[in-house]
Amino acid sequence: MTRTILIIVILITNGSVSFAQNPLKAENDSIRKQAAVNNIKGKLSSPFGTAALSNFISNISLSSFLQEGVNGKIELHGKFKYGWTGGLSIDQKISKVDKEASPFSLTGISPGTTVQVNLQKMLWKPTFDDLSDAQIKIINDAETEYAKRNNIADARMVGLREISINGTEKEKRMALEAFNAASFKEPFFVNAKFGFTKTSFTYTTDSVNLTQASDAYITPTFSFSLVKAIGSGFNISGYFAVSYSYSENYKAADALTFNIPFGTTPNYYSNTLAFGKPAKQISNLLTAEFRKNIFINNGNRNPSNIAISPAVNVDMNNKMLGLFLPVYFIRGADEKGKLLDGLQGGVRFGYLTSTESGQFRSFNKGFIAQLIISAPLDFLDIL
Amino acid sequence: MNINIKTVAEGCHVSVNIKIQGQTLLNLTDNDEGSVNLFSGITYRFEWFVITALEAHLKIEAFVIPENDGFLPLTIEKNYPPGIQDGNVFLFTLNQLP
Repeated sequence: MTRTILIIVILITNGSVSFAQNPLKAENDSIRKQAAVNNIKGKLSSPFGTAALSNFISNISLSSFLQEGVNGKIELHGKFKYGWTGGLSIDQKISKVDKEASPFSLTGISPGTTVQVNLQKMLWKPTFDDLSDAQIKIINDAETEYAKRNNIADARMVGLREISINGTEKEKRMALEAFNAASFKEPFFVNAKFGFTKTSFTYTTDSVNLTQASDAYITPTFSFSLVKAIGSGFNISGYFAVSYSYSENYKAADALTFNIPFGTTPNYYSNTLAFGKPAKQISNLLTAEFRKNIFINNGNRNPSNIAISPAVNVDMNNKMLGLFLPVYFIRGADEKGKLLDGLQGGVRFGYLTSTESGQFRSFNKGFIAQLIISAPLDFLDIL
Repeated sequence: MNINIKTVAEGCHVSVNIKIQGQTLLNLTDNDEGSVNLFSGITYRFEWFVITALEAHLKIEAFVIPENDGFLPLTIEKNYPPGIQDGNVFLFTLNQLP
């Protein structure tokens, strides 16, 4: 296993070296342009040539991350043709005193390690098919006027969003109407994730001799989600998602401190141990979530912005239903007090009830309202 | 005659289509390149779309071989903030070669 990983790492390292020497990635624009032309021409003149594997390599990345006392992570990420994206991550939780992670060793996977594989397919076929050639001609004529007025050498370089910002009122309306006429502008994503985690526990079931036992478990996780991005004009303002996740894990029994006589002396020593075997927990969760940034405009997150993220969660194992309506309106700040773009505080209203027949809670009993401070609310992590 | 297109997408997704009467002759996505054979005297559509997740950089380069006044070499290069979508469409007709 270790040998296989080493071979993969060496192959990818070689790929990175050739990537660095690729003139298509050169800093100098003219070199890059010439290389692009040569590259295309080369493919055209070769038997069976057109675009093939060159981008396959450049779209693969390998990265590592370590946060002392938290975790160490290695990620292999690949972006392939036809909207496919895939990744492999190896993540090991580490203790406060550890300065390195070692998720694999000669004996196999180390405890605290999670290995996860994910695959995503983006379905996105935007088109202006609903516009007739005559309508496109009118738009192109207006763009030519716009380009002339703004000293743009080639009107074909202009985007409709640019006109919607800098054009006359008439041009702005035309640009927005033209863009709104495009169909299937926002992508749809299908995601699947599979992983496993190794955990080990030390515990005792012997209250007389406190004989210690150790167990290691490998537990699976699986999730599947469907996500549709939501747009408004030239903005991506949120998404709608449904997801299912299954996970198994083991939870250690409560730790107890035992005071034990030291031989026949009047002294005692203490030993803290989990008493009892770890308990297996299974989670079967179905979630539907709508996330929308309400006043977003041309990518500028207005300081007075408000976001909502209503969600329905069904915990099939514990037979619980949760309805939540978080309203985010407080911006995050960094450690120096500088306000950040993302919203991360607000209030959350919710209602929790059992789904078992006859055990529904009344609204008064199930209703919750909380002040929340969360990780920055992200609308674009789906993209 | 061939139209050759190359896309560079950093922090975004891009889609470029060459179409005729609703039929897609060529579709390119992120960091892609490809070509398709075109005929003179026929009107084609060049469509491009972008959707951004991060601070993004987009570059679309297109040229026709052999050179043709009906489609001069084109470079669309733009920077975008996160959470934006954009695009455009134009018509072109290649001239008969002498």
